[in-house]
Amino acid sequence: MFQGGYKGRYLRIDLSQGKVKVEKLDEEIARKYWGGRGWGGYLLLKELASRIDPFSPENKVFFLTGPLQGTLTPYSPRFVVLTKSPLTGTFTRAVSGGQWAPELKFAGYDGIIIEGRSQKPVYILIDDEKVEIRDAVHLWGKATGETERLIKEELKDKTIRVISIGQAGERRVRFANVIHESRAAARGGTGAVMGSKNLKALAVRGTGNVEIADIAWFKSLLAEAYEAIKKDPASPSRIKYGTTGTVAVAHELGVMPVKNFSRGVFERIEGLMAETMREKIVIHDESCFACALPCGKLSLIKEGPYAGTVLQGPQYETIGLLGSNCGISDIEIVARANYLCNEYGMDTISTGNVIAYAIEAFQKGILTKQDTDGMEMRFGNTEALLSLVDRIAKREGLGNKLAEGVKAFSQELGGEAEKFAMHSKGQELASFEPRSVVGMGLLFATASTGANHSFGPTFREEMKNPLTGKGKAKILVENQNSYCLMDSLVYCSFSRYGLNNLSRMQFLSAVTGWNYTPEEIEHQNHRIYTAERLFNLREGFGKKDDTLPFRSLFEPMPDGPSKGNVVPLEEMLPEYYALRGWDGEGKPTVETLENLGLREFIDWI
Amino acid sequence: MGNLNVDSEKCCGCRICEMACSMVHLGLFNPRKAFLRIEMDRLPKVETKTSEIDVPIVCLQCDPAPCAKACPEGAIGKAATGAWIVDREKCTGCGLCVDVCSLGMISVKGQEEFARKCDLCEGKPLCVVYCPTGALTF
Repeated sequence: MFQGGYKGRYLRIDLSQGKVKVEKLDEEIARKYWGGRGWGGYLLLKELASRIDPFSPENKVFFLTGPLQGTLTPYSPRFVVLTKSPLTGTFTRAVSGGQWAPELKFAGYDGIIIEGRSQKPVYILIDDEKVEIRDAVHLWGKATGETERLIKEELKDKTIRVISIGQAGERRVRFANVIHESRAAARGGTGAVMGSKNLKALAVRGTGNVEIADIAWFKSLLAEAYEAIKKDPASPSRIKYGTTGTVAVAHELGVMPVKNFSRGVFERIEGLMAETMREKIVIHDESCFACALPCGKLSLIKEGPYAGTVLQGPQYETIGLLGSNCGISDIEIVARANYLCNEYGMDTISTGNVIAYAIEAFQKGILTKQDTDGMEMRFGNTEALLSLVDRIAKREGLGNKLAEGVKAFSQELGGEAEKFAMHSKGQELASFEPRSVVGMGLLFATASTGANHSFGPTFREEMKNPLTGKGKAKILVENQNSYCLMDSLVYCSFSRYGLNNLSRMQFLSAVTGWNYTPEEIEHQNHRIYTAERLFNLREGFGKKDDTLPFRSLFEPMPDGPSKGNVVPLEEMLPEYYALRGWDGEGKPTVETLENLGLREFIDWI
Repeated sequence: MGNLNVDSEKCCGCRICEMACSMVHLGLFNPRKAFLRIEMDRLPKVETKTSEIDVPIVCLQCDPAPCAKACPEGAIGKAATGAWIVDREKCTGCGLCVDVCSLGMISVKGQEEFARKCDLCEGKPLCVVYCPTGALTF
């Protein structure tokens, strides 16, 4: 029996049959994988048949919380969406904050498993014990914000919490995402898989309680944590600027992506700085549920052609990819493009990448006006950016090709064009130029999802020596493991302001009554990461795929602080495999699997 | 004696106050059972005032208090802290107080047979202690 935190049950919804089941959460599985990402990785291995088409009814989508959601544990209002990615074919997980995860717990569930495919568009309503698959024909074709509004109106309750897909998910844009109140579970195409199942949204209202094992201890941990958050020297700047404070330091180190990751300096970076954004468009600081650090920047474009545009953000990653990577230096244009991506339900990181790629291909003469529907494509061209966002979401003309992701499109063009396609395992690079911070390159090459910054970023630890590969594998393994813990319990990465792995675990103990030694925690993290690796091996991925774009490996950086550098991947990778207990081919050894309690999956190595 | 003061300009909509309230009074977490609530409008228009985005709604401890006046049992009385307190021995859970509170700050919920409302935590409201932005003061 669970003493606290967990609700001990989850929903299994079969859209083909139109059936809803409530199943019990196995306590042994919860102790071994916690929740969120850990639990989802296990479910992907256990429940998905090998090598299925991600868009087939055989694929499943998991919407999971963990033990802490619905408590006052700082930085914990998050849910994780997992599926086999239609962008990469690998494991993928996308995480978002907001209000939805705690609401699901208050409704009495730890997670939702979606199976099959509905004949017609539907959405799911979870209203405590009442769970319904409802008609969504009237919502199909609607933007995400509109979908949330219409569902709340239909149910006459604005406190209902909704996650939904937009037109991009419906049209299976391979990097379509899941949007919740202007926040995104962003990467890997989870929204496209929802679209393939004709599932438009999941709406939740929960009126029940979340109880915890040791409330007296919890209160004292909370008092300490709030004190630590207040005292953390980074907190004031994170409250004022959110993630955008990173723009200045990243650009100074040549880390901001510039014009399809081709340069280390963006001449017009001033227009994208945190201070500029705060002054021009930010109107309010907002928090996710029960979070003491309001990093959300509610933004409003006040004048000009896009006046009235409201969104939460843009954040650092979006500014990098839709901004400097596309040669755009106007924060209002970035905000507008961000807004459109949110409304269509499309990952800003992948979108910024595919657009920058198309611009470079055009400037190199690989694409002509015939390919671009007559459009003149230049870095810094606002029209090209905004109109391509539209066309990708609607799968029109060139947009239809870009909607397949940069890997597929570059392979279609072939030859030289593949050398500047900025992805790993098919997922487009996040906002860290890997030649300027090479440990991030190792992260992009090895992350279970393909290139992903939020899988154990090493940027902070690397600032003093960003250009050398020495010692980076060790830092990366430590950080990737910490992120296993954070994504499984499920904490925000900002929990580094005031919490550490010890206090994160103390909250888990106070909430659940479970205790883990530091060694056991490391063991859990290794298990979670290795299970994801097993999934990818099973799907045919291996050492050959733990790589980076040609540009990152072989084209020396032309300018900026990392001038002349490339990513020394070959130097870092063997050390990384060894630290993980994997062999030279990147496969976990039998001994590693036995150590980690993963023997049941031994067939996949 | 004091009162809960609200500066909605500073409110970030975190709802820590709601959660802290249920933690202190009930020993569990349930924002819908809190004695205050945050109302959010996160789709502001150009003309929207920022003080209208996240708005804490709290018991004003009105004086005279409509809830106390409406109570046929005389179960709602004023404490030294300035809070109107429900006497559970006298309260029959009839709900007449609920009907007269225009802010929805007093309720009779579920199996319980008495009304519940903000009691200012005996003079040290935990919602104020935990509020990260100073939107709530006492």
